[in-house]
Amino acid sequence: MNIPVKFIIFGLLNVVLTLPLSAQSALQEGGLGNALFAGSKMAAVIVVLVIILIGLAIFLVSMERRIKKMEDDQ
Amino acid sequence: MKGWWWKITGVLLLVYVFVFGLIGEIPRLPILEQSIRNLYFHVPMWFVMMLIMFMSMIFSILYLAKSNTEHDIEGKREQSEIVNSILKHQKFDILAAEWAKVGFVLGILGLITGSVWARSTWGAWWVFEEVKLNAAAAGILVYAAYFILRGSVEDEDRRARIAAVYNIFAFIMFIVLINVIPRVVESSLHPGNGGNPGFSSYDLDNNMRIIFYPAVIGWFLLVGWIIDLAVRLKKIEKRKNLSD
Repeated sequence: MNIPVKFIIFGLLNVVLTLPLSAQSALQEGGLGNALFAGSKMAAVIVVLVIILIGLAIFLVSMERRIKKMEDDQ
Repeated sequence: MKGWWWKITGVLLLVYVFVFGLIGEIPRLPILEQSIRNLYFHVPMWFVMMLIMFMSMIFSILYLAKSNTEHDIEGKREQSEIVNSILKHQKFDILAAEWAKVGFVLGILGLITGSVWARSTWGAWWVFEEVKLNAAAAGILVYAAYFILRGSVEDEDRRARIAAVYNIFAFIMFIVLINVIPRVVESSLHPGNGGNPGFSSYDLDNNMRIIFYPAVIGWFLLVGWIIDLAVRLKKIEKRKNLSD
């Protein structure tokens, strides 16, 4: 396996947990939350679509690793 | 399930849903505003999850119904015949588990997307007084327990049987939790529950219906494709493990 799972999880956690920091510049406390609540609420639709896309990407990554593992064993 | 037609249909339907879901006309409602478009994404996800969990339960029932016939290994000499026979015996168990797995992921995504929608309209990521939210979380836990149960039994046949029985109760509980209980309570934030009008009363000019129904079908077909790949890969992995 090229990249161990723990590296991926740790790497993702690093990125995800530091995201709220970049939201501070937008508004006061709860930056992302207020951005979702404000205005036309199109942000809510877009974030939902991104979440679905990320879910699909995670599935593809999982498939990729499992297939690669079997290919390598041959 | 073989064939490209249903996979392509699913993708085409979703292209239609994405394009017209984002630019199509929507009723202008206060607070909801543009976020009502999540009707085409968040809601179908839960509908599809219910369908998938239903199918998983059907496979569990089929496994229990057909597992009386013990696969006869003694009569078979060829290794490939033995492997095939074992896989045939486990077929419905594999199907039940993989369908439930994907359904579980859909449930998690449904909770996350619902939380995003909630923050944008109700003003909070989670509302503890809202029965449907608690019921959905409980429903997810019911299926988490299904996977923990599967992981706790070593012997394959016993695992399949115990998991199949649990799956039947799990689905019944799941439907009761997210469909029955929220509709019975007096007050709820969710449309269609607790005395609120459902979304069907919002689309007076059917602008949303013509995108919502194809959305359910399209998402079901796309998720079906995902399940198809997962099942096929699982079978290949099992075949490989048995052959070693």
